[in-house]
Amino acid sequence: MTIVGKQTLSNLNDFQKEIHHDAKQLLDFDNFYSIFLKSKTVSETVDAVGRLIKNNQSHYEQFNPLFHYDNSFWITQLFVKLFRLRKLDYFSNLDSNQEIANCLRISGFPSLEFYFSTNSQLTKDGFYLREKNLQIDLLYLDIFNKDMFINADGFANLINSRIGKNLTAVDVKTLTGIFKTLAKILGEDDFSVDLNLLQSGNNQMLPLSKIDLPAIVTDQLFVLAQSRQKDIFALDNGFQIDFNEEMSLYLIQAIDSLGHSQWFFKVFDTYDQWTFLDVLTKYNWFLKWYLDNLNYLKIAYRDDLFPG
Amino acid sequence: MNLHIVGDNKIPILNNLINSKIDYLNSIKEAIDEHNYLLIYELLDSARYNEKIRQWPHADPNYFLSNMTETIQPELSEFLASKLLSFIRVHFPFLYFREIKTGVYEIIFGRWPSARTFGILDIIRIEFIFDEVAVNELKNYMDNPKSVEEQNAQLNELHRANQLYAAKKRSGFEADIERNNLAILKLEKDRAVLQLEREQIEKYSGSFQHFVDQAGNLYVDYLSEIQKENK
Repeated sequence: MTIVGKQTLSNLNDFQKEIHHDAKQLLDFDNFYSIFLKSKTVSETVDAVGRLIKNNQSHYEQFNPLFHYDNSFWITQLFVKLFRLRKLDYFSNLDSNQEIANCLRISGFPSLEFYFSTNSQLTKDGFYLREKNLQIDLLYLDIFNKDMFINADGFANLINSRIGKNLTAVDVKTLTGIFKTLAKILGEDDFSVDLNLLQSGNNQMLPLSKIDLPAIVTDQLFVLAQSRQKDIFALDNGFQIDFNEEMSLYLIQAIDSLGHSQWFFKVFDTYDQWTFLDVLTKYNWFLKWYLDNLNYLKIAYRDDLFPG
Repeated sequence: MNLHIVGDNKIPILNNLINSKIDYLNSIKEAIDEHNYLLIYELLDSARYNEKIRQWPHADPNYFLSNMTETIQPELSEFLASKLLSFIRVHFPFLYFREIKTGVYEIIFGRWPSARTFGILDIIRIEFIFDEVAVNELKNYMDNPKSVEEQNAQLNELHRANQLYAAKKRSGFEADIERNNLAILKLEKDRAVLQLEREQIEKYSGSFQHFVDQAGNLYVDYLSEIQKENK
């Protein structure tokens, strides 16, 4: 056999290996896709989408398929499917022509449209659910590390946006309810979930990232509360505002064992159902005060994922 | 003259004087043991008690005896405080008290942030010792409509100045606006405090004058209440 002949045989061998690789990758894709479509549990569904994304990230050596889907496409499919497992159709990924698209809409909220994006500077593999018109991220979802974190500032900015201002308190409750449902669904698959300002609970304390709270900020709160006829009280460790007969908000300072002081927001209500976001939504003057002073009042919360 | 004899003659007088002091101290001790508040207050200032509670004009004072309690008055105040403060809480629910040293209670008007101190509560004399500046400020706010107008005019002027600064955008205008905003906040805070004080007075006393009269009558009202309780 000539040297050329040897080379040709070697090339043919490599070629065969590459075809085999591509065939296996396509077979895997078919398999995972099939599992995804037939999946009946949260765990199966999340796992299948994880495998599809991994498969999607591998290169074909010789035969690139005619189809190509972004990773965000699969996350979008996952989102829709997770709710369908519960027979809920909050999210739709159909566009105006009723064709599958890489975006999400929520029935009853025509002005909102979402898509998933990634942050290339982030070392983690998660996706951000971003509102398209406002470019506001509402949550971070990482199906490989099983994390779902609400973006606190994102929700505050959403309700203060031109679109958010047209939403009623009931609308916001419905919207946040959808994300709470998602948290419950993912909880079934042992996701680590943090609802932050969407979380009700009289024991829920939201720490502020700044240590100092200037008097000018609390003076403004006092003046605003008085002008809105809301009772505001000075406590030994902060302030209490009675927004209504059943709900009070506390802005209180606690000293840790090292002597460091830390400010917290805390919502306390008779039926244990109000969230900090509900307060921001229902009381526009309070939302304005919060956002005007966000530099001091920003909630300390996963700065690595939600910088700025 | 035999000075010893003269001196000995004083013994009965001295005995009387000392016995009266012992009796006084025993009486006040017993009154404290029995929580007999009326008697304690009578012993602390009998002339005032007789004039105001018994309606006996020109009653003799007992200062030469009650002076003896001066050194124990901080502790005595603490002892008497709880009952008096309970009474005040019912009749002046907007007044709060902070013990700034043993038996000395500072009056705080309201529980809101920036609540003003209004002076001192004299527990022994059952008397509000109001801070004149604070009280006059409130009186002026409640009884003089011009003061409210002046305050509003001042605020409008600052807001107008800010609009001008923002429109002209001269160098350093941001600092001017910032300075004005601080002044606006201070005025608004002062006004909010006065407004809250006014609301409380109107809610519980009707008018500023009635509040002053009620406060001035604390001694009689409080001790009369205890008399009723004892009946």
